[in-house]
Amino acid sequence: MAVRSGAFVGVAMAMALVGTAHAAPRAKLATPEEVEAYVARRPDPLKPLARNLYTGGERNAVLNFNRIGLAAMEIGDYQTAEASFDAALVRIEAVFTKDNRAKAAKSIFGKESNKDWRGEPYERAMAYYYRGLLYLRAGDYGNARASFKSAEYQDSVSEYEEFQADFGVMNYLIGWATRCMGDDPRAEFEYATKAQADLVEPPKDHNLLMIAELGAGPTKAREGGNKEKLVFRATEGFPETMAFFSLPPEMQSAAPSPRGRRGAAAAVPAPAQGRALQGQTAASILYQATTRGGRPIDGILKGKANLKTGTTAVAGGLLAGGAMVGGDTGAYMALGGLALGLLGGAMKAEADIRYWDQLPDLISIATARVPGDPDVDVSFSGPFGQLTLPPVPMMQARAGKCSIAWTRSRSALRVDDAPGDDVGVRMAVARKDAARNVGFRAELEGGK
Amino acid sequence: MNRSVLVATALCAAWALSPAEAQRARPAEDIDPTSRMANFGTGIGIADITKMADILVRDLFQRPDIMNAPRPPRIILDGAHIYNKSSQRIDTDVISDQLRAQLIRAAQGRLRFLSRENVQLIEEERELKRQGQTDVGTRGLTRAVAGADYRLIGRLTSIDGRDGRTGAEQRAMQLMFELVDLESTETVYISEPYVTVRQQTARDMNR
Repeated sequence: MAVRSGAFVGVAMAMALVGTAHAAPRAKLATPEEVEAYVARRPDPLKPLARNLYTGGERNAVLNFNRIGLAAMEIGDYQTAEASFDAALVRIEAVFTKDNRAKAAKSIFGKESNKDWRGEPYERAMAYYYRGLLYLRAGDYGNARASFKSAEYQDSVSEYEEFQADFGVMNYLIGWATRCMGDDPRAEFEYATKAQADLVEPPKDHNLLMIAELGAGPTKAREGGNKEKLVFRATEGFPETMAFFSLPPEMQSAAPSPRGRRGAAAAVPAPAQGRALQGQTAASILYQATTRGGRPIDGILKGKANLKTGTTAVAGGLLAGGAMVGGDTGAYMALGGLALGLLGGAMKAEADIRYWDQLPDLISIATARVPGDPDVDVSFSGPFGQLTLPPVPMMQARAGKCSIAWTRSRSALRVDDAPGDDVGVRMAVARKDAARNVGFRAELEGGK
Repeated sequence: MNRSVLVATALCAAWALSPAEAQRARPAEDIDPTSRMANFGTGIGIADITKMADILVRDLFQRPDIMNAPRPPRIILDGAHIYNKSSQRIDTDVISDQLRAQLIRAAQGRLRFLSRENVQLIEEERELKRQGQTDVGTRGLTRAVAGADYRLIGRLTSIDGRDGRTGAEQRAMQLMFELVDLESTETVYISEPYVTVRQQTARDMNR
């Protein structure tokens, strides 16, 4: 009786503790009303992406901020674009000493996609690149330069030395920003032209930078027996490989002639007025994605995959052996095999394939000297000639010494949620992250 | 207390304090802006800017040729002339505002600062007075806005490094100022370079 009453007291004490711990208000998921109230304050084209951001929490925050940032650039909502990329970059730059989500991703029973997405180096570099373009637009050349430097720095983590710091367009843009600041950019242009053979240093008197982004960037896929290997694949179905920038007749000067281009040469389409400048191919995002080499997580995933394969093989052996041996011994072997089979089945080695789906394949650049505000038109062509593509708005601005014109061959507006995401993991993490995401949503609401 | 009691208590307590339940949204904390805690990462932060401004003010005040001039020299100081050539994105107005506030408060009239970034606003007000749309105020009119003797020009630079094996990232940053004579181009004062070298090791699996 003494033991029973002791246990009763113990359980009662524990229940009291439970009661205390649970008395505090529990963190909860966002209600549909809260989601709609947040989304309603966004411009229509950004509403689907804003919904993803609000409900996706910290786990997908960088991806969602990047997607909103780029879509906002397209619709001319530059304030939102700047704030979105700033929010993404703050997270990209954060270094965590204790990260529960990373721990879950590394666990043998957790998928890599448990972690907060920060993107592969090429995706992080592109977030800095877009922030840099927005600084150029505002005439803040110092911070534009800093952004492009950070973008170039992301490329320095390549496993193979020959591919380190080969993102020549970033050096080119560092050079451009440096020149707009009034400093000597020769060293940066030299780096750029070495890294990317198609690039040439713009003449000193050029003050307009024109950028067109072509096609669609790489997608991610899983390979390997346990889907543990992350691979990048080219996105097919986008024939554009060249951009032509048309300037009104009064806008004189031209970009230097490109020294060669990817793919067959195409006829320069005749502009409606003025002259057309053929852009120089400044970067291939697919090339950047595929030359990065291994990631630190790859070793962990490989280990998990090997363990899973080994465990499953032993389980199969025990089950087969148990059936052959029979009797009590066979039954025990079969039971052991079953248990190991369950264990092997529970191990998760799949690579995370969430990716930034709005990125282009190619970046094309030209420069010119213009007397006033830029007024640029862009056309695209591929190996078989000029293409007619749905128009995408262009960002054009003059601030300080330089001007910028930027556009894309394809729209960055999206309605779907984080591409490549694992819905099961997303829902499980959303529950575990409920408290953290209360703070996240408060931050979003603070930004109105 | 016997073993069963301990086990029951431990089990229930473990459930009660499981990570998902133990996590609560906590209110933001106040951090001393002059402490190292106010700076994240390897770049410079508000603690550095405050400290650098304090050093510069003390240093500049040791210069009798500037501080004890018969007529207080006029200086222009604005964020547009603090050149960010580093790899850190930063609002240079934070630096210029901190410096200007510390200098004006400490100088007590021995240095005069001109607000060139507001010159358009001032021109509009001057125009209203001269057109008679407003009276002349209480201090009368001047023939022109004040001319400057010096401009305080800053430069922020950095050197970045990364250890590919350990993932450690290092950034050395340098912030320094020159006081340039706007007639002769002579640099009449240069601050001691404010240098930080910071390293952090990323535990992020993506790096």
